Amino acid sequence: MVEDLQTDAELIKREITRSGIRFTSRIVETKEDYLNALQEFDPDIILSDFSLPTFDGMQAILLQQELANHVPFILVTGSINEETAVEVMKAGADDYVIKEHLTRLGAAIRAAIQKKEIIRLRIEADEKLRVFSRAIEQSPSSIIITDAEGKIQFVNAKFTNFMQYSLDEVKGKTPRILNPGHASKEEFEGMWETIKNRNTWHGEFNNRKKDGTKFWENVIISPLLFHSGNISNFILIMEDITEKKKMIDDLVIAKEKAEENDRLKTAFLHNISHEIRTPMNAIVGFCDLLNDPELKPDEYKHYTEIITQSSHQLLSIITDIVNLSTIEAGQERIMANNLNVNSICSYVYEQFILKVEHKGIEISYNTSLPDNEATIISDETKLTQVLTNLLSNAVKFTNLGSIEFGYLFKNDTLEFYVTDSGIGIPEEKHDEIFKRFYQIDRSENRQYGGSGLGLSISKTYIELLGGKIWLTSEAGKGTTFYFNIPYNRQ
Amino acid sequence: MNTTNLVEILLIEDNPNDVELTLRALRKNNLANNIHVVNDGAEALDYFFATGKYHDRDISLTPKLVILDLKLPKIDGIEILRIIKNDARTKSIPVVVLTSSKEESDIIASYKMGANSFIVKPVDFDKFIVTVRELGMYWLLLNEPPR
Repeated sequence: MVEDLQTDAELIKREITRSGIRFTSRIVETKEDYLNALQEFDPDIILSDFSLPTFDGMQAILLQQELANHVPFILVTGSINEETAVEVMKAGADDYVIKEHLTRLGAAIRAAIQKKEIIRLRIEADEKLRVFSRAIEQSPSSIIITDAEGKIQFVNAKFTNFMQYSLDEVKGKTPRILNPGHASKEEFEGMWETIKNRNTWHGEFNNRKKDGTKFWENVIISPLLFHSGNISNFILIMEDITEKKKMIDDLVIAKEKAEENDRLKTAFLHNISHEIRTPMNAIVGFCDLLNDPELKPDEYKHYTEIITQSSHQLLSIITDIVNLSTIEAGQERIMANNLNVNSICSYVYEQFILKVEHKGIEISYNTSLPDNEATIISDETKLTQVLTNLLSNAVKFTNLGSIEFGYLFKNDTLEFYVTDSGIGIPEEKHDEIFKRFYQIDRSENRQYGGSGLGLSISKTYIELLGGKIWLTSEAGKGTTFYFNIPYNRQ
Repeated sequence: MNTTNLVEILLIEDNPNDVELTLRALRKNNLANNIHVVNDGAEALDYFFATGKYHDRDISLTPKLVILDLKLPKIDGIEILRIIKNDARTKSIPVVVLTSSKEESDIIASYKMGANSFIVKPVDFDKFIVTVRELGMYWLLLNEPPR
């Protein structure tokens, strides 16, 4: 209470008590005491006289506005002119009571406190609303609010930025426009059923932005309820999970690949151990026989031939494995030199003519450049090995008929070919056969043997030499393997 | 090979070197002078059930013993084993499985399918003889020594 007259103060206190309000009070006369009281006493209401010796009601209201505008302020004064009263009211006082009419004071205090309380509650509610609306507007998730029919009323900034639709473009439409034809009808109906029953729906949609970009979203849809329990709105909270989904997909692919590799390696080990054992068994078995003192000379010759041939077979398998591990370690290098492709063809032909004679297969070769133009820079060992691999396969898979190989000069490349009239390779296997450890059919590979590495090694070599390898084939009619290398002259 | 007479051992093996080693060792030990060799799984089934090129064979004359390689072209050894052990006409013929590996899964699968014994290549003939003895076949297969 800002009051300099003891008797007035007493009258005011008595009047308040009379009106049934229980209270404590502090009376101040100076500005200094007033400021202290605002801080220490922390009043629920300020009653202030207008004129005091060193202070006045106007100053009091201005300080209240500045420092404690949540505290109601009533001017309690002797008769003042209306203008002054208006000034004080304008400055923010809640009411004014004239000392001659003090009976009104109790009601005025109650009204002022209630008014302030209402204002306080409204400010609090406003502030809460502002926080909520900021939370939605600035949320890192896209948020849609629809009416009870599912028509969009509001979308937040994240939504408009991310989806590229403005609020105007989507307002009144259903969120289904984001999902043209991806989710099934059943899925939508199930979702609608869930949320209509006041439950939260949770799921993933493959949605589309305005520009058509597809992405995966994790969506939570909750109904918002009136006090009555009826649905007022739905809120959709959506999070982009494209990255996450891609990571999961990548992991699944990686896992499958790892498992496939593991399977191939196991199959390879199984296969290779058989392929190594077969010639080894022959070597061990026939070496034993050589000790037989009753052996006839032709038997002796026959056995040593088997031992020699098995040793060569074993050696070539081991060479394949060593080549593969060099490739796997990434240490395969090109040893480029001058070489003559005609000489290589002729050398390889000489090697194979002996091998196919007894099988009843005819072999021939063609070179399309004269010898003096057939010198190029490339890796002689690798080129020879690839041709040898392809011809070995041709021989292996051809029981009767003919094999032809050679090269053509085409667009500054040499295109080699090896054609056989063998069993052929089904179309769907054309890519797979170049994979490591691959052989078409397990029961068939037993018939033909081999490490299953030749084509994989050949492909790597040809790619190192700057070319590519491919094939055409017809099951039962035969196969042609092609590869090309650059026609590099000095 | 005489197919009309009683075959004592049917050898199912595709690798010519292994065939030669096995035959030689059998003969050397005076075991069975009537051995028939087939080179793949399909031929083996034709032999057992007198079909295909063996259509005029007397099906009731079953071999006394089968030596079966597991890794065969056309039809796998395990599959042969399954078929003959599930057919009343052939299921009582003792089968010795021959393989180049000690792969456990092969051994287990063979025994499951009803193989009587298992020998790992290269054939150890002491072990082979122990095996046929255990099967009670030794005296049955042992020939008179050539005069």
